[in-house]
Amino acid sequence: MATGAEFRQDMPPKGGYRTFNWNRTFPKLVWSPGAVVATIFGATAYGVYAALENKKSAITEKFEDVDVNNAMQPFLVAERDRDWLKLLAKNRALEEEIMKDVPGWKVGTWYGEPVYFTLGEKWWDPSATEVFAHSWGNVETREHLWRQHSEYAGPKFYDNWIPKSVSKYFW
Amino acid sequence: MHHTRRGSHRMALTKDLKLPSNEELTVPQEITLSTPWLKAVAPYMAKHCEKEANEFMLRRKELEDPRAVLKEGAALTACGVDFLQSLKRSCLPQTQKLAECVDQGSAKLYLSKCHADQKELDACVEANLNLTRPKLGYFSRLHVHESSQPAPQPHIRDYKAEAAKVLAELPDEYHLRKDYRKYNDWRYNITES
Repeated sequence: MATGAEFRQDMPPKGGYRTFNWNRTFPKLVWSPGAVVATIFGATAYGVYAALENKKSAITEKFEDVDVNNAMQPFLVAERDRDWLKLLAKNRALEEEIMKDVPGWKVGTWYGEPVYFTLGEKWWDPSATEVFAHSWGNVETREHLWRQHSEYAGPKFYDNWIPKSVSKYFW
Repeated sequence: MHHTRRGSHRMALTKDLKLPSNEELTVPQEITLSTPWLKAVAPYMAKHCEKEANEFMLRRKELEDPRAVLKEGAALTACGVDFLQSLKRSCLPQTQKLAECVDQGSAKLYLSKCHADQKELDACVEANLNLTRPKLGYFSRLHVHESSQPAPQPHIRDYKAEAAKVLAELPDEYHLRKDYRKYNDWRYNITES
């Protein structure tokens, strides 16, 4: 139990406490307000300018590509038309060959009943389903609908662990 | 041409449909360039063959039939091959440099990274083939082309009369389908459009 002999009153240091600053204090001024405002506005203005210039150059870059594609398009169309007509002729020959033993079958019709009566001489492209009728089921999705890549198609981490003779059969 | 739209009117390949023979569809030489090479030479080639290209595209658009413009297409391809052969004789190193730059300059095969190489090829083509590459945007602009062939007259067909004639010619016992439904009636529920 504490006794009176051990008690000692805490007293101020000799000469008293130092005077306390009761005045309002301000942080040290590093940049003047004018400089801060000018910097912010300047940075924003440069950012807007740079973004607009970036956009312009991106548009120009794309447009240059489009222009070149326009230039080559007639050549590609000419080649593709020939290829397309060859494919259609081949398809018709295939149908004729496949169905030659079926009595009453007429090529391009349902046993002589035409799909359309009044097409005339006008050219219509056959539908994709019809064009791919003589292909395997996955060929249309792969070649026409571009669905060959069900997942990431690049090199895999397990490529070196599985022999080529096996891995060529799956992704 | 290879639209994915389904259910619209499509041709069936019947026996009486006139398709060109394999000989008509084969040209002595196709343009077999890969994409970077084609992009490198396309502006020069297109400018050199401008008349053939315009004729082909205009006639194709007017006639709406790939069978009707095979001659124009073959002439265009021949012109392109001819130009590429002369380019190969005179400016192969510059062309190769530009094509390799297009190939490796950017993932999208843009020409924008290859302007220095393009300038070299420009100079070579101008000196040897007397051909100036048109300014950017030339091939995106509309051009007036006077075709040697007259434009086809619009042919308005009376489909109702033709259909009535076909129906009248059908035998009496012909199995006309009665189970057709309108397009919108094929909906299974109201939320389907």
